[in-house]
Amino acid sequence: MRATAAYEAPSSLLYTVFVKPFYILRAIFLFAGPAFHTRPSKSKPIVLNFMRSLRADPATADSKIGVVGFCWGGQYAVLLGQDDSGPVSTESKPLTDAVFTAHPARFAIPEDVEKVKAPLSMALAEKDLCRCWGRTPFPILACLMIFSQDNMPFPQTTPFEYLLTPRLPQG
Amino acid sequence: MADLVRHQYKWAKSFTRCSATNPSRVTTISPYQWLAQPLVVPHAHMSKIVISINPSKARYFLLQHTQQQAPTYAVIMDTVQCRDCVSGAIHTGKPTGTEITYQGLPTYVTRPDEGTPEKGIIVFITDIFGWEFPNSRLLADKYAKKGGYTVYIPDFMRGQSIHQDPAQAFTTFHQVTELHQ
Repeated sequence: MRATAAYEAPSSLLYTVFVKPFYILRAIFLFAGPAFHTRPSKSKPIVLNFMRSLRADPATADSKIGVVGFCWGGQYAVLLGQDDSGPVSTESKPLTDAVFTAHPARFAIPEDVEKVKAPLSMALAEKDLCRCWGRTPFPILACLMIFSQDNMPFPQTTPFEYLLTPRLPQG
Repeated sequence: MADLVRHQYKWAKSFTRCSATNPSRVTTISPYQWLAQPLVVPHAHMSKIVISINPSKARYFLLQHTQQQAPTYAVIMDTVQCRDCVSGAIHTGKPTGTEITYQGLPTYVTRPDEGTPEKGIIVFITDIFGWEFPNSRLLADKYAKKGGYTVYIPDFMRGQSIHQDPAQAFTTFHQVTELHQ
């Protein structure tokens, strides 16, 4: 029916029970270290400091500054598009002029999107998860659809777009 | 949680589907039908189809929220295009930029071609594979050459990314998600 059908076939029960756990452990082993060392409390000041000095630099004073953030970087891309750029900041306008993010990590709807004041573009997979209402992970597509209803309008005053890829497990 | 269920119900009722062959024909379907459909359009505020790119194949639709103050668009792809789109791959090619120290951080910088005016600056925040990952650098080169931007990829991760063996990480990821077949 579709080009990707072969890749979506489920693996056998034996593979799932006896082989997969080993790979899951290995994935945890691979990702845990970098994820710990680049946790938000460590990385957020680095990102904010870089962006502030870039804004303050006379050589780039006239330039428009955009941010693209993929996966790990998505949380900071969204953050830099917000009006206050996080609790440690005193800026009244976003540090960037435009934001693009694909498969953002630690992304919360509607909290994050509400605060974004720079034009925002997102690329998402249908099965990507986000923190809906700050609770447990929830499919991002469902979140976006819920918030596009009448009684809970998607509170956008800045340009906003998203590219959605159905049936993709991860952005 | 009750709120969530209520909203989900409303959401499910308002589902509509864009016909793949005729984007202007929008029909209402049940949630059960929706599960079997490749293309879903949340109709409530997004019914107005502004542009349909390549309408004969109808792979992409650009939709507009009709009741928003600011232009709000959703591009919904009809299907995933290829195997590597699903599984991911490490790109081959030679990045053309240079490594410098910029604003106190080791930074990969790539600039537009000679004679092309610079449109602006893009700060590229990478994924977990870090600033040395070839995919990120090649994409940054594309932004610079085709878009006319100066692109910076700073090492925000202080060298703590998965940079030693991304290939192994990719293989492991495929094995976990069963995409290795």
